[in-house]
Amino acid sequence: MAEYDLTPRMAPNLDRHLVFPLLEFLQERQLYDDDHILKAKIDLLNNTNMVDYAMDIHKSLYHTEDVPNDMVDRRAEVVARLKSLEEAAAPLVAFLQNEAAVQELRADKQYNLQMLNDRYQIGPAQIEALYQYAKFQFECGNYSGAADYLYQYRALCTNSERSLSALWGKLAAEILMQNWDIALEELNRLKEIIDSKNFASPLNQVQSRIWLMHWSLFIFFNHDNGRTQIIDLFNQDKYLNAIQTSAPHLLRYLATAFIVNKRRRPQFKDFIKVIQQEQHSYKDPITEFLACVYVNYDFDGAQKKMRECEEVILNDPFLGKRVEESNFSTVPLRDEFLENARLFIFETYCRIHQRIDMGVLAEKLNLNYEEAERWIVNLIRSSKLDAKIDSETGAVIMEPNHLNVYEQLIDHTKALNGRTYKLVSQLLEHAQAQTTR
Amino acid sequence: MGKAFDIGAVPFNAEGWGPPDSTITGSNINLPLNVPFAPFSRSDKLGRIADWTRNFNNPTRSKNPADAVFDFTNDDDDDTFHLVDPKPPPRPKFGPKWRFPQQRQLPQRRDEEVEAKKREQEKERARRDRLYHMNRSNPNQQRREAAVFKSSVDIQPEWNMHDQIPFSTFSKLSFTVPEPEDLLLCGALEYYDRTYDRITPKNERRLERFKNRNFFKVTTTDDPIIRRLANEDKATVFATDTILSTLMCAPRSVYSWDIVVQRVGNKLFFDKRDGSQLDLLSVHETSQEPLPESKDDINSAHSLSVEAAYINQNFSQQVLIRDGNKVTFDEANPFANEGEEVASVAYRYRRWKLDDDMYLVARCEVHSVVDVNKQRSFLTLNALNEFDPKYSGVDWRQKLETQRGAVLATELKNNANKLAKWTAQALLASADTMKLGYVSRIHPRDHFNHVILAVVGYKPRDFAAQINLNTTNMWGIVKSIVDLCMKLNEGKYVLVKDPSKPQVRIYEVPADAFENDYVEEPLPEDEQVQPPSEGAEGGEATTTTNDVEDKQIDGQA
Repeated sequence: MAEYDLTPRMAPNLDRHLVFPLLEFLQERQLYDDDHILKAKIDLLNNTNMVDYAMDIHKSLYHTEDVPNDMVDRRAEVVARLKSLEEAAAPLVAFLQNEAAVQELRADKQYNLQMLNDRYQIGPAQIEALYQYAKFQFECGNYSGAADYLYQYRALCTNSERSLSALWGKLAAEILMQNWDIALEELNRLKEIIDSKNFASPLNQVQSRIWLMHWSLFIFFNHDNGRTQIIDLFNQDKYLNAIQTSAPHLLRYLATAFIVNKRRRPQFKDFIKVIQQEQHSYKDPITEFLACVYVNYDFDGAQKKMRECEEVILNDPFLGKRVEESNFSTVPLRDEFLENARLFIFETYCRIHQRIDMGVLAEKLNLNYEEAERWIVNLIRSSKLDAKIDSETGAVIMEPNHLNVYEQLIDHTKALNGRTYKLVSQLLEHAQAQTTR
Repeated sequence: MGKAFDIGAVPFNAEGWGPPDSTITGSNINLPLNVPFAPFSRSDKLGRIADWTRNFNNPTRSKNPADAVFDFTNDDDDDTFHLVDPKPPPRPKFGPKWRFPQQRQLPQRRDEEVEAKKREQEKERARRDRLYHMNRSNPNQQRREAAVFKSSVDIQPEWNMHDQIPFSTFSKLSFTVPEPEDLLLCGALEYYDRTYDRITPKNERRLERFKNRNFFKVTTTDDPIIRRLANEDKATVFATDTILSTLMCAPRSVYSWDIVVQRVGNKLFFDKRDGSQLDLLSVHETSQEPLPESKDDINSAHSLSVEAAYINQNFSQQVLIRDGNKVTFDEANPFANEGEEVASVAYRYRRWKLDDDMYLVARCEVHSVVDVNKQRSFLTLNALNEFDPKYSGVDWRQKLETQRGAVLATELKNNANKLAKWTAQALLASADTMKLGYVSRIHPRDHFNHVILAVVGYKPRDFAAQINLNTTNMWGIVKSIVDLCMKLNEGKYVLVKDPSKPQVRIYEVPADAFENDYVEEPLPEDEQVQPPSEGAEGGEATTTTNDVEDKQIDGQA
């Protein structure tokens, strides 16, 4: 079932430290050989400073208590560099830890830089040292310290490129600390910068958007309002173009969000078209499920895809998030997904039939007869379904949904009126432009 | 046991975080190399090359910069078309130039009876001018045409131009001076009447006149105190607050002004000519709305300047408690004769250190004093004046109480230079409060009678921050001008602000320039009635002459 795993396609768009949670998930799910996962972890840990972690993994992988000499040397090097950077950043760190001193800072950046230089002898070299120190702490896995230092650095930094890099770093740190509210703020700030910044080439901007969308998955599938916001972000023209251009696999998460979301129905039809267009570049059971229901009207195929979707969700690091509740483990997104998927099948099926046998419906919904009947009764009771149940014949009777002739005429007249109004407005606008000229 | 796991290449950013530069790594394999990338959407229509039916007003279509080459629009350029000025050119009339003694008052007010006769003519002329300006109004015109201004001093052909400084260089200057040192305090001050703080447009107060009080506008070299300080070598640079504030706020000025610079020995004196622009107050200098151009119009730039100067003087005396109780200082007013009634003013002679071997002494004015919590505070008193709400678009009587911020914002826009200079003078004098009066005409057609609608107080430092007046930039300008003048040889020079362009020039002038050798003698009786009219005619003649000079100067430049 590793067939639909997207980790190899996600990893090139993530920071190294953000790949570790994905590897942890894969290890739990036993999708791959443990040795390969551990080896991948060691490869990732190269260039980072988490040497102790690498040593532990090495011992597990090779079942030995010995560690390679290069790891021992690396550890000594890391400790020495930590001391050196600590000394370089000490003046500014000491200042930031002094409550009384920090009170002197103002909203004026130039004033702050001047004040620091005059009274505390903190200049550009010390501010640069703070950035390097934050980077080092991040590579050591001290995400909390890195976040604090990067926040202070961005308040003093005058280089926009470095400030942008620090913002990416703070976002990564907040994600890894699972501070979803703060991470969401940083994400929005970063999005504003990416959308308004003048990039060296459009390719860089597209790549920044793709990276932003990948990093945002951590937030949107953990934040309370994330299912809605992922649609708001991914469904924008610019971001949808980036998905179509270089990251079609992100359609899985957008499709899932649309299925489990009840507030973004109006955009759903347009998204179905996107799914249809992109079938040649990316498909998985979730996108194919939507195609079966809304493009091909293949209800048997949809039913089969639903079972495959369950497997895909359980094995996806973002969708398969597990919640423990008193000796009971559940995946809330899977339950919600299956519920809404059944609803989609049912809605479309009912739209093209007048009488539906309860047994056939139960079979298509993957439920037994009593469950299906209870489900339909709940729908009727909550006014989502305009229907009646005939207990004698065991069938659901759909109420006709046809508009009569008069209502159709009124609808057409309204549309005609709207188009006429728009045409007249354009003519008047053009005439006024001529007059002004 | 699962499948073999290969995570692939994960990029590492050694210098920070975020996506790598794609032009370096070429990490997007699925995009062809060396092909320029332009964002597009698969739902975009193809065949745009010959799409004659494109809808430019469709807001749902996102503007794609790659498609800009196809967005041809035919925008007619109307800038080459403009109306011809139908007004006939003014006929020059030459005659003797009326000059007043050294300590003269402001120009004499014309006889009100004669004025009343011409009011009807002015009304008709004003209506015609307003219609004319209305027809010529152009929303794209950023500023009124600068050609209507003239230089504040006649540029003579024998003058040599030493330097030309655009205001853009002034904006970058910065210089910090230490706190000044008080050398001497002269004069006497009366107390401020705090009941004027409670004036509102509903309980307005009539503006009174003070014909018996003497106001002095003495230039630097005529000041006996400054002469004494110069002889004692207290400093090398000498000026007054009016002259310094004109330099400090030069980038905001639109009207032309001139300052005389005299290099004597190792000393530098900044002077003003008698009767120069520095004695008057500008009105609507930085406004977008043009003022009437006729000299005789009560709303012309010159008429408004005279009116504003009078309002300012009268206001500064009316808001005092005039019960004879005065605060006196080290010396009496150095310009007043014995027994003369003098306006309330104190002169602070202060010294700033510009360099290790360079000091600047300036005479700074404060106008009043007030005791707050048994502590003495100095005040400066100035008045803004409203002449016709149609020009500013903000009627003070309606807006001053409910939208004071809007009124102040409009004045800051229309009189940026005047307010900046007042603030600079208050800062130079270290006044504790600036009092601004809002004075309006009783009727827009009557420029002799006014009412006080409100009085507001500001801290000079806070007000400077509010109007973006930077102290270091102010002193940077002064320092650069001083350094420039110190390099000149001994002699007399004049700094002239160009009437049309934001720049200032420095000319060398003969030693006897601007000196007044006129001996008053009686004129024929019919000419004595209207000496200002002759002055106006002379001004127009100056305009004609000055145009020729400007062309020559441009040719040289």
